[in-house]
Amino acid sequence: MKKAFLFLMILMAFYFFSDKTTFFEGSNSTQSLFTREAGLQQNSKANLFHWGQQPIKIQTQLEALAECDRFIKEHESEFPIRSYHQLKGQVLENPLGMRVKYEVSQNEIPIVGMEIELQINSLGKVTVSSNSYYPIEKVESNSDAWGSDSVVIYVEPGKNQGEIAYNVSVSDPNKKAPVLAHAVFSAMSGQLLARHVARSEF
Amino acid sequence: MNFSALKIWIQLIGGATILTLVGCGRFVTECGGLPLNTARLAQIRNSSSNSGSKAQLITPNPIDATGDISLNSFASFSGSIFDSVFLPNMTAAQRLENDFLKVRIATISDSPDILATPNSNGEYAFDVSDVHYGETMAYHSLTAIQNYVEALGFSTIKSRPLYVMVKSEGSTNNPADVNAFYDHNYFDPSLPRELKIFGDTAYAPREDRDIYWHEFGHYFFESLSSERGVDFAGDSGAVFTEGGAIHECMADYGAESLSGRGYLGRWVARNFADYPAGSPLRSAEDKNDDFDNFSRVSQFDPSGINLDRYRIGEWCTRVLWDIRKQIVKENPIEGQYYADRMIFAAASLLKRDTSVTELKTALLQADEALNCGIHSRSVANAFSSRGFPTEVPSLSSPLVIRAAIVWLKNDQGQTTNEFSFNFTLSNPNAQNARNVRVILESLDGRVTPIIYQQAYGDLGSGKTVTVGENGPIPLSYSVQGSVAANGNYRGSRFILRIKTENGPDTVVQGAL
Repeated sequence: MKKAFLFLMILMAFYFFSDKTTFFEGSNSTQSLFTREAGLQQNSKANLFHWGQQPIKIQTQLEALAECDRFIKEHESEFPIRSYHQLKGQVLENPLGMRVKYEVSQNEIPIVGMEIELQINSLGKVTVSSNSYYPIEKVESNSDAWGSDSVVIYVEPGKNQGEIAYNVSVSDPNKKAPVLAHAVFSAMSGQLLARHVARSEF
Repeated sequence: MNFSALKIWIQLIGGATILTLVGCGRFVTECGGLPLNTARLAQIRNSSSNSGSKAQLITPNPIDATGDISLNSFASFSGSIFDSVFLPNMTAAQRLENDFLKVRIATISDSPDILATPNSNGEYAFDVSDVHYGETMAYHSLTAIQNYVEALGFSTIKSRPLYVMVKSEGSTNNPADVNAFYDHNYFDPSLPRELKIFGDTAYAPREDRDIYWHEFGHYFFESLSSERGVDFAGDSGAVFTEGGAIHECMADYGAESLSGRGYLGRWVARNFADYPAGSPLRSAEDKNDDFDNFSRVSQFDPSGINLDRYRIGEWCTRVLWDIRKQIVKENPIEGQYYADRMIFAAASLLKRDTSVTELKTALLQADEALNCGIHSRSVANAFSSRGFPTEVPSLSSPLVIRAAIVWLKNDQGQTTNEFSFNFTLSNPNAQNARNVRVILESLDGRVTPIIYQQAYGDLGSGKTVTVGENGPIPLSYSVQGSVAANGNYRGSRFILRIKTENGPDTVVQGAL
């Protein structure tokens, strides 16, 4: 009896996939998306499909980047990007959806401590994963005067202004094993602003 | 019932049935994600690609390749032990580099004249003890694992190149100082990513594929998490954090899963007297030791033994390995790839200064998104069977801290502009305090937190952490801050915030 029931279920299942007509025949629904073809292609990158929604096409990294650029422009209150700030986006592919991570700079001086990350889900909807952009005032800078590739604008968490800072590599010769670290010092006050330590194994 | 309605009912029942049937089989592993190219993944895993220059390597290392634990890099190896492998995507003529990966010996600016070049047959073939062998192993290993994660659907951050120094110059230059570093160079975009390997012993780490795969794992984890700083406190100098433990866990898991061996570092462990010959450095497989159970690696002990990111890290790999084993059991041919995809996707969801609790949640979310949640029970079981509490009772009272400011001194004994805290931190509750952290926050622009967070694991009922004050836990395990060099810091204010996952924050204000 159980076998017969299972056989019947499987037969009906084959029937489910054999018919390529719209599922809700005669329905007044404006969306007729539960088609067999669409269902079979739900994993196709070229035609992403989710139940109850129109398929969308975000196929390339360039398209993802353009979509996120547009999102930022359209959400000015959330992203009040100042004219003297530049955003540089990088697309990261991920089975959970593409991501675009933006780094911020001012006249090619990187601003550290300020980033935007957006995510595009399989429906093409853009969401904000993280946003630490803050419309800080323009930092007076003269790259010739600073004279180093390792100059950055450093923004401390919670502060509304940035400052010019130098990156300096440091090591501790007194340690038995080498210790690799970098320190960020304020160009104005000499204060240590941050330290970054390489990830060591032993 | 007319025919049309009957047809719809049949279709509905049939559709539900096929979804159920699919849900019990392997197709559901593609629920929300793109199908995997398992043939390509298998080709990468088996090093069976046949494009690029040819090389001769003993993979992963002579000990694992032969099972002979007495072998070292100075042994004479016959041709049969070498694998013929290919070095794909090289962009520079006779140079082990491509658009992203650059292999060097000692420094980024090594002269091309000293780097490995192919022999007259066009092959990269060297003695194991030759530094050029290490360069070749670096290129082969790193391109293989990079290709693997990309074939799983993950791209990595390539805004800066990755330089690998296989016999790096360091502050000691003692060949016996064996170590490996991954430096993401967070704060200095003018620098590349750097993987530095130290040591020139008979078991030099540059000769072992496991080392490269593990170190790549750190870079990959930063890429996966979009450089959110999953262990930003550790990057800033914290000795122990759960984020740091998960960083090691992910790096180990990636290496262990791609090799399929469930352990790593049998070669490099020969450098350390406390590892019996032939023992791996770490293992995702059960070894009936501390790393099988969470409480044995997470509970604060006055000796400080558990303030070590590798202990929770190794425990974590066993949890992930349990999940992987279950998925492989369900799908012996392709399960390993689906397990890796789910676990790496989970890693991509983790936030700044992450935790084991967040990892568990992320695994369930990734499984839901990619596999319709069919492994949720396996995930939950993997954590609970290894002692991770499913429910943690809330603390009735906040933790109690008593702290004193300590101004740090330099090597010449002079007081610097950096300060730290001696403190005692107690749990007055009858319950265990989960994932206890001390965080330094500035209330004043003149104070800048540097090592802004340190973690102390789980603090049992009535237990106390004592840091500094000449106790067993040195001051380096405390938080640190800095002030400007002009001395204008008197009265500047800060907060010490004590966090635990199952209780209210303790907040103590102070002034310099």
